[in-house]
Amino acid sequence: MILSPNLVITVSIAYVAFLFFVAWFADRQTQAGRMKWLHSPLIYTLSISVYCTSWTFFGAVGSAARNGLEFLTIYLGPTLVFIGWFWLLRKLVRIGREQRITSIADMISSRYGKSPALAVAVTLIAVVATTPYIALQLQAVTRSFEAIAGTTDANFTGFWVAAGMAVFTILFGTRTIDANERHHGVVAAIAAEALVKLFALLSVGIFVVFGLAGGVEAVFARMPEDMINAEEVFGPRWLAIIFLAASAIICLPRQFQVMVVENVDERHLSTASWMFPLYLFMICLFVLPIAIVGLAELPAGSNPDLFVLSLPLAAGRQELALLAYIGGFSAATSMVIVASIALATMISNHIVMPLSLSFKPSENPSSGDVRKLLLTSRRIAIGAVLMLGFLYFRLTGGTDALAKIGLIAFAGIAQVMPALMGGIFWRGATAAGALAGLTAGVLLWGYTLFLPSFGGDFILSVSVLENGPWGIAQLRPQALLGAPSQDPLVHALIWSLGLNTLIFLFVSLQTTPRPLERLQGALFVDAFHTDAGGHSYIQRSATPEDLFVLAQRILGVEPARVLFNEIALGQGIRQGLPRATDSCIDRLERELAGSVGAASAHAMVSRAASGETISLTDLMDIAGETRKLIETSDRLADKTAELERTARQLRDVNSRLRTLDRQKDDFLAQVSHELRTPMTAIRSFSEILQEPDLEPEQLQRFVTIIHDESLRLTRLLDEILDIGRLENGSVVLDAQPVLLGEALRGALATVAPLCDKSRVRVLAYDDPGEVAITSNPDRLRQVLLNILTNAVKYNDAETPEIRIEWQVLHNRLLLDIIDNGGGVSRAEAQTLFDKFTRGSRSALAQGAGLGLPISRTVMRRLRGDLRVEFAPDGSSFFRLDFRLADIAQAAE
Amino acid sequence: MAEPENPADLALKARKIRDTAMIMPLFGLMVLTPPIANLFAVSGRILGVPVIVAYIFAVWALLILGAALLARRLWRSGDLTERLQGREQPKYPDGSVP
Repeated sequence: MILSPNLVITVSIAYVAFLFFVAWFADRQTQAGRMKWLHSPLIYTLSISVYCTSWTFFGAVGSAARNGLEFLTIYLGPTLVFIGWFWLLRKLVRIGREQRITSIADMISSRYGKSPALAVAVTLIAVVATTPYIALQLQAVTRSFEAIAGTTDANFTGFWVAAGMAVFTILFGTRTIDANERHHGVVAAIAAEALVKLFALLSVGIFVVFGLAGGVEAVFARMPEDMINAEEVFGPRWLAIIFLAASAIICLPRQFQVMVVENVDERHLSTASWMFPLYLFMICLFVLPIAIVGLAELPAGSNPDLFVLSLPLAAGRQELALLAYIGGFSAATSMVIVASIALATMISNHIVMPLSLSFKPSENPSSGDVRKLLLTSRRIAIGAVLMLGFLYFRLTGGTDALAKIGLIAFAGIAQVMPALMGGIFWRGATAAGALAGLTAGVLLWGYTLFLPSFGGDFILSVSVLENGPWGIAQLRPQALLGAPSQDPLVHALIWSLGLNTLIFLFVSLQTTPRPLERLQGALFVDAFHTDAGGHSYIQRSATPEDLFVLAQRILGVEPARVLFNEIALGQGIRQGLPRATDSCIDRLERELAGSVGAASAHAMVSRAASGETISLTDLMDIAGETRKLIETSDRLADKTAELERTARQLRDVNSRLRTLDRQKDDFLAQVSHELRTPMTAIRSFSEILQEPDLEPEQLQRFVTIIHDESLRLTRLLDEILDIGRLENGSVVLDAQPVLLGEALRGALATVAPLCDKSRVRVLAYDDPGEVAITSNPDRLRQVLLNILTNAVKYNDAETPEIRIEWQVLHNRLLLDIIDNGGGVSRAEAQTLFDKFTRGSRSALAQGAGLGLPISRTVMRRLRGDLRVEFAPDGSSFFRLDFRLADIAQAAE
Repeated sequence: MAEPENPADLALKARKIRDTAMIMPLFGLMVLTPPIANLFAVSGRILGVPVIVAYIFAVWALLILGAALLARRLWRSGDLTERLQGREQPKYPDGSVP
């Protein structure tokens, strides 16, 4: 069941032609200005799926067949990174856009003071880690070609695949040099490839599950029991690979290229945050079933890495096999194209450019010469990268399982993580620290993982692997310091990344950043708070002519003219070159950085401009500005909360004041009313007295009335004064032990004549005798008299009685004065103690209505209470609540 | 929702959405790694699918759903749009983008 090689080759070429068409069409649309559909979040998401290479397409099934669930980690890591986009990716994209970042190497170098050394280091790491990965793609394509079309010359196929991809990449990837003029054609082609590979894998999956096996249950029924190995899979290796994959999705040059550099709109990230994990989810959905069915159906010894292809072939479904082949082909080509563009950009910007700057003096510049150099170097670099991949593929002979190479590449590029994370979240990170950490990490990675992966064929011999160099067992590459034998990947990861991070932190703490580093550090860490374009922090001087020449050399004549016109217009100059202000030079440097990377742009601008200074005050300014911003917003938040609190308090106070005001008005009205009654009597009777002919007894009666009324008036005024003084606390009531029995007897004696007159009977009561309470004797007498008088006066029962009861409760004494006069209603009890209110019972009687309020105030001032209580039968009585005095105190 | 909302409440709401967006990956990491993932490493099937496989794919799907909902709410809270305003790319006089 094998297809004819010619057919497969034709289909492959047709597919490549289709890619060319898509890229060409997208480029044309862009030029025509109809690029809206290209700028959709969907295209962005699909282009990110360049993450799924042939390592995914073929290798995931292979990995599932060998290690069960482990393949999932490769996709769970990126899923976590993407659903956490708000935390990290958003910042990366924002920085990338504001600083015109062209690659991951540029990002690191730009952050650490546009350091050329760091740019070179990251570029080299990227090349070393990516080359095997490209070889892996070539191997996948040749192997799948072999599987589907029978025997061929692997080298021949590999070479032509590499060559074809090089042509495509050079054609569409190096049209322009400006990173901001993005590779629309390439992105469109990648997006199309993403759809092809997803469709192919889903088709094969559906066929295998529902066509071959007959349903999901049937698939898992055929699963070998030990395949999932769930008890052991969740170990350090599980965590390590999740972490590796998460780092890879951020740091891999091709991922950085599509996520950050090719990003046209920051908001697309929010869509990709769920759509890309969904893409991964769908890719993984059928991996396990395909692996299970492949293990069950195909003869033992079949390569599990090719199950996707061999299952349809074995079932005689040639068209499906062809589709699977094209899916794998598209996965491989998309990765190779993007990776080689990213690498070529890095090589030309960070290696070729600085070299040419140091070899070729800047005199005699011709327009656009740098531009030409860059484009040429990029084209050559693309060819070189692919050739390197091809060589690696030929040398290693492709015996390794695919997944192994992928993880090694991941671990290599993950060495950039500490410098990247430190760079965007920690101002204290320095270039020296980043360089030291990176170097240590990469050396350890090479020693513990990369070189051992050749199995003793390359640099490290088998004996070194087994016994350590010079027989020193402590230095065995896969068991450093005799660490207990564990998974080589976990071992290498812990050593390389661990030391990398520690050295990075330690050296950063020990070194002082240069001013430019501090400036860039501040701009990166506070990417959301500072506006990079707003203010220039570097002071330089240059002539506009020099700058213009420089811009021409890199951007070309026309773009340079447009740029300078715009700057000039911004300065209010209608014709001619702009003034070379600091912000003008800054702007130019940023524009150039978009083409040649931050480090080269800085080096070139510094040549044209002299006297670079970054004043400390400026640095403090930028630090201060963000700090101030944060502080201001914090303070504002505090202020708002405080204001709200104050407002609430004010509202409360205001409503209390209103109540008090109303009470005061009521009080005044009542006082005037109360005072007015006796005054009116006195006035009218004294008027009568002025009449000459009055009978003596009449005279006598009127004078008595006037006298009584004035007494009443005086009493009233006394009471008002008294309650006023009591309420504002200007009278001191000294509390002392008082014998309640004595006080009660005295009060009863005083009201006795009144009782006799009203025929009120005071029932015999249990005399408290020696019980002492804390009170003031005079005031206590006043209170008792008041209550008793009320009980006598307002009692209109047939046989009026007063009962007195008392009880001791803890340290309190409760004295109840109960009369059978009918009591008050519960509603009345509420207002009984307000000033000038008289109960319904007293409607006919005299009295100012201040007695009860005064009594209650007195009791409360003496830390007791006076209240109306209700008996179970509904009748009410007064209860006086006293504190018991110390017996000892009473005896004194 | 007819009455206009207090700006302070809106800001608080937006902040809560953002904080949720920050917590999501941590939650995902926790449930997808040992020891919690180990709890589901038991023999047994759900609709014919081994429990652990069903568990991982279910959690995965939930995370995707959560991210999609959050992305929508972040949009609505205006968090993304507001900040982007005034940050448009500078344009050349002829309207092309540098």
